[in-house]
Amino acid sequence: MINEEQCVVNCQYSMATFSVPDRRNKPRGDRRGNEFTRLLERAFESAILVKNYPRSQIDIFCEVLEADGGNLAACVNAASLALADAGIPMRGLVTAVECGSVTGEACADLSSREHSDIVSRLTVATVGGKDEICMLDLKNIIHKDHVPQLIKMAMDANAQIHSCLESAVLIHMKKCYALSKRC
Amino acid sequence: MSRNLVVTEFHMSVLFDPSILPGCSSDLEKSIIPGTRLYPISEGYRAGLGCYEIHGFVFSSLTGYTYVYDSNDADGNDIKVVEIRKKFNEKHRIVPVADAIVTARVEAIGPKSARCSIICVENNMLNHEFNSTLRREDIRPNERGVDLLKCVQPGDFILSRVLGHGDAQSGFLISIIEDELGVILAQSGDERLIPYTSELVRSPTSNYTEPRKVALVPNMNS
Repeated sequence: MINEEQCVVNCQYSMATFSVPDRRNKPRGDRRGNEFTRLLERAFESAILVKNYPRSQIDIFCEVLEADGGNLAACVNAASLALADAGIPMRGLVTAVECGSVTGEACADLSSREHSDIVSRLTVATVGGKDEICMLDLKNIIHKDHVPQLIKMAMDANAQIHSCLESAVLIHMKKCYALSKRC
Repeated sequence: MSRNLVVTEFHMSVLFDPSILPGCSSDLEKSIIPGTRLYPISEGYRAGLGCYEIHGFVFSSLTGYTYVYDSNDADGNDIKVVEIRKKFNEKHRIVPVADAIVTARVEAIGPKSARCSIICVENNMLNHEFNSTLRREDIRPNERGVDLLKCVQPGDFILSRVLGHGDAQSGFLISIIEDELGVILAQSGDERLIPYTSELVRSPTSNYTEPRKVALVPNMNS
């Protein structure tokens, strides 16, 4: 699909067959995988400066090698680092975290053993570690009184993740790009 | 959710290399990640390549080092343009745009058009080539049915102007209609032929000539 005004962001979310304890038969194409694909596309479409690249396409392919909860959040973080390394202009690094609400108490970054049908899980992605949310995904039901605390927990966690990603990017940049003055 | 944000990005001409300017002052400064707030617009800073302006501030959109140089804006006021670079004298990515003069090499001749590879855009050599198409009607002014083989041949280097984007198969569309555009270096077998007149190219060693649509590059030295 050619868009004359901006670039198209095309994502793929795939889980390796060995990534989960019970071996998966299909790496991609299931409903949850397709849903994650669309969520990734929308998240990065708002963060990447798409007006710079009309009639073009940016492909972001994520492959989960070891799944232990928070798969979507991990893909978002990995894709942010890949885009920063590739030199794609973005409004900020997109960070994500999966938080759960257990009987009203908010918990950050659930593992897969902590997943259950009665615990509601919210994956929140923000841009630049600030208060701007670019993606929200809720699994299971949550009482509306528990939502503000859960979102606040997710924002705080995102700010910390953002500073981790920031220092990783800067260290990587200094290693890769020798700063040569006036050469 | 954040699609309503209005972002104005300052588009520098990609063909302009500011490091040759006398006003270029500072070295590369701090190392930054995308989304870092840099300088306020009110103090005369503007966004260059790798930055964008929002809420009265210049923000970065790439990873790299900040590089600030002096320039003048449209009204003649002094402004400081902020760019993000990875190296001091980094060549920015150049892409053929409409109306740019490009140097291309003819790869193959078809019945109605020639397939070419764009190798330079204005003064900049590209890291990789772009596919382009030179159609038969874009060779000579007012002549639609020219014999393609008498105007260009495979292996020739041509100076041409980009008309615009074609579709996925044809790449960019280029034209050599103007007098100053056309073949600048021709090839026949193993030999390179140089422009002789506006219609002929000639071998430098013998009197052998071939017909081409030759570029009449104005001679600046005489």
